[in-house]
Amino acid sequence: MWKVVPVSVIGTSHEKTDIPCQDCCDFLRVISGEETVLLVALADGAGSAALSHIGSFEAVHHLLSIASQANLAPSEISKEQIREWMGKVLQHFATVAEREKTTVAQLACTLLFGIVGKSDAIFCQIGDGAWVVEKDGDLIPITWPQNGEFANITTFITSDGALDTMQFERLTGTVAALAGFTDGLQALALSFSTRTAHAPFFKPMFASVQNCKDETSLIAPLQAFLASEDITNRTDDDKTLVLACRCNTESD
Amino acid sequence: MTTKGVGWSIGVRGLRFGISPAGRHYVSVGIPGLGLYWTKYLVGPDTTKHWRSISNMEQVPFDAGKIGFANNPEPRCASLLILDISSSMSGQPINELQAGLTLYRDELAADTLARKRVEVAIVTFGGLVEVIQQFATAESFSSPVLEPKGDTPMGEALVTSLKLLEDRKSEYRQNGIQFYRPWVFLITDGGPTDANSQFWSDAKEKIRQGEEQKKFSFFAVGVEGADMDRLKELSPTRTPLKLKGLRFRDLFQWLSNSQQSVSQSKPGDTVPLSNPVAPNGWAEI
Repeated sequence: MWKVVPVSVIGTSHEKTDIPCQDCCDFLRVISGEETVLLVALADGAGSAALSHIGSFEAVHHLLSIASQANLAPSEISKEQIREWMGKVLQHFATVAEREKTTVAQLACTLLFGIVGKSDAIFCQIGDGAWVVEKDGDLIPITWPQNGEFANITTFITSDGALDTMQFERLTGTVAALAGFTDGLQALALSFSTRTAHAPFFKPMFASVQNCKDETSLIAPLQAFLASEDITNRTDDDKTLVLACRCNTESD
Repeated sequence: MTTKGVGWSIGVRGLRFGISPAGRHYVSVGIPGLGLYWTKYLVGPDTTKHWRSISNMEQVPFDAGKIGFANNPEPRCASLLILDISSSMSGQPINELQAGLTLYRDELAADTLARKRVEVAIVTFGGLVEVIQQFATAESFSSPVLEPKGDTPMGEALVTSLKLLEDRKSEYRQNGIQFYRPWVFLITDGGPTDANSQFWSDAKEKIRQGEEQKKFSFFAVGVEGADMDRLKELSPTRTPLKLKGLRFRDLFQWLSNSQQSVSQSKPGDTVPLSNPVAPNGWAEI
């Protein structure tokens, strides 16, 4: 069983200009056969796309619903399968665009997706942000922000050929904890020169989640932390962080 | 797929949604597509303030004093200035160019982010080609003194400059420094005196490739007397601009403003630059 703390917080630059929070995240725990499978999705809407807050919301929830209905264990899921799901999200965008009387491009967002079972896991993403996992005591940045050559450029699921750029990583073994985050946090959470996850960032947070009795009590504090000046002095962007730790009791 | 279908899928054949230690809170979590998310209303953009106020009453499991942040270098925006200081620039033109450069440095230094992110290098050509300023942020470069002399080896200056830029980008990559698309700015009042050399054809080819592959943005600016046809050879896609009079200060003000915007942009942002050829702008075509 998993304790999950999902939080998206608006950036100060968005507050100033009255732009809504364009990040979104959510998760599901599904029972597949004998194991509990954790599904986590995050999206970061493009600043230049007028309705990207709708795009990120729709992408996250549509992907979760498709994947939960398929009800597959991670070992049964191929890269092709995920591409197909991402493709369905894009098809869904066409419907959403019609409903919102806009174009698919105005829904542009990144999309990160994690599927974690008992002894294996899959992490994938289109665009920036990243996944970090803790396994056998090691912190592993299992994916890396996809920024192309320049810092202000990334791929969105609506970009041409986006599905071909999808990162897909399969991990065998037991994931003890994981974190997914959008680009607003990547400069605080990752060390770019060493291409590593910054342990002092993740370890205390994983410990808080691991040690809490009821993880829902951590949502407000995490939200407050991400909105605090310690963070906003370093990044004015929207920030999403999903923390998840495996509980010791599998009977849950 | 309809949202209704998902709602009904609870408990169907092997699929059920997990329930957390917090019990019923999470029942609604398991219905995607409907927006019936317990976490949904917690993480919504409108509730930030609400949560801030609540969190004051609780213990602090996420303490900034205990959580460390990675110390990454600021992303950089390279700005390469290639300046004609041949003898024809003597007098008022060089004085105005000098004043423009000083203004540019001051403007960048006054912007808290730009002074850490915009890196300027200056290459001059007048008789010979000189790198008078290696890439440095506004905090650490002083406006150089320009002394007009000699002819106009523009091709060689361009080749030298673009090599300088490539080297800098390699350093960025080696050190894990993210960067924005570099700016290359050529300012001249004449035409190349090395147009028949390998330098000129190399320069044309490198700029063409650089623009095509979006490695950098190249701007050519002609001061009164410049050979605009030659400049068009360098920049067939982005039309070379002609400086109105000696409005170097307006040009550098524009450059500084534009680079401040770009160096603060995030993925997906469109960065609108003001049009330099607008009636109140510094250039004409």
